[in-house]
Amino acid sequence: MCETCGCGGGETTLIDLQTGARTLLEQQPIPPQETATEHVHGHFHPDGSYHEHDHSHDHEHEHHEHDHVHRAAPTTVVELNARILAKNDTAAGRNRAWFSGREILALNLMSGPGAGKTTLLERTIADLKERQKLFVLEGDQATDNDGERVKAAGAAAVQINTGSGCHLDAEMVARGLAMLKPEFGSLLLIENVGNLVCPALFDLGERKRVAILSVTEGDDKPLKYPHMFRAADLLLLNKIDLLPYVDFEIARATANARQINPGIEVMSVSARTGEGMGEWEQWIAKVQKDARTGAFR
Amino acid sequence: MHELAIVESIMELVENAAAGQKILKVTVEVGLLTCVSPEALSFGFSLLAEGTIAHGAEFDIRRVAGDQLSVKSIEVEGHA
Repeated sequence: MCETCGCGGGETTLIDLQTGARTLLEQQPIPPQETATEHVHGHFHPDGSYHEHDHSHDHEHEHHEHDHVHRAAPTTVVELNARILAKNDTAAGRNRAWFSGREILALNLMSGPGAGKTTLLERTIADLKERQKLFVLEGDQATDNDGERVKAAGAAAVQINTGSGCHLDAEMVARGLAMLKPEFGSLLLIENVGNLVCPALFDLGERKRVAILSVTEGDDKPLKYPHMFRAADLLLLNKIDLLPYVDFEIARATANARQINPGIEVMSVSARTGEGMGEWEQWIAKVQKDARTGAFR
Repeated sequence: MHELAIVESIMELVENAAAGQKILKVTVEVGLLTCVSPEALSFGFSLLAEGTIAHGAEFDIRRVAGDQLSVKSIEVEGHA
């Protein structure tokens, strides 16, 4: 796990690409738990005798009709039933409300490294910047190369370097937003860390999730990495200008994605040549309209 | 991959709930539709629990349907 992908509790840095200011994100203080602390310890035998033992549940042993005392120290089972990602989901909900109140459309763009997310952003920004304000949160483990690229394309950007972290989480996005300050009614594009697995699990508060798969990666990726494609609302098949050179079939990729996620929308684009970009930008306009009219997904 | 981040959340939850008492066992429920590997989760737990009140605790992973991801219960030493 962490030796292979380098994920873990690394240091996260925000870089404001407008001012160059760098902020090191500190660990958030741990909020007190509000979970119930009911507990059980010990039990009564049918003959009325009581005993305590180190497993107060699911243990099997012969019950004798006489008193007996276990030597093990008494233990207590604390029922938590606590969602492990509750903290992230709460932060994501806060982000979502923040976007909603400002009529900002936030899209979470996820793909493996090299699928063309940044090129897609550059093209999208170039196409849309005359019509509307665009803001970008750019996630990468290291460097502000991508942030600089989207800034050069015409969007205000904050780079989030996750250090050893392999995905963005809702808290990082919240901190990024505080620095980026996207305007009322704007379009916020969140470029997740290039990774086909981990980002799928972490809600950032986005309205829609967009998975990007390039034709050089193979049309069986949706089957190999089902979680990402199950989590996505839209699949963009990118680099279609390279289709003549690779063994990739749009129909097969689409069928594979729908096998995992029957409701997923699929579009083909080439961020390099611009082919198909119109359909993608119309899709943005449509979900943006929904966001402005306050329709919840 | 992301398992270590999940174990960090688990550690927060169980350390808060245990309130300083030694943790003997942690039971988690991992849905079959989550992209979480039980092996990686166990490995991450053994790493992060080291030197904490959960050091050496049994880590019981129950596979359940759907995309649930939760800490079911913990077992601690002594009375609550």
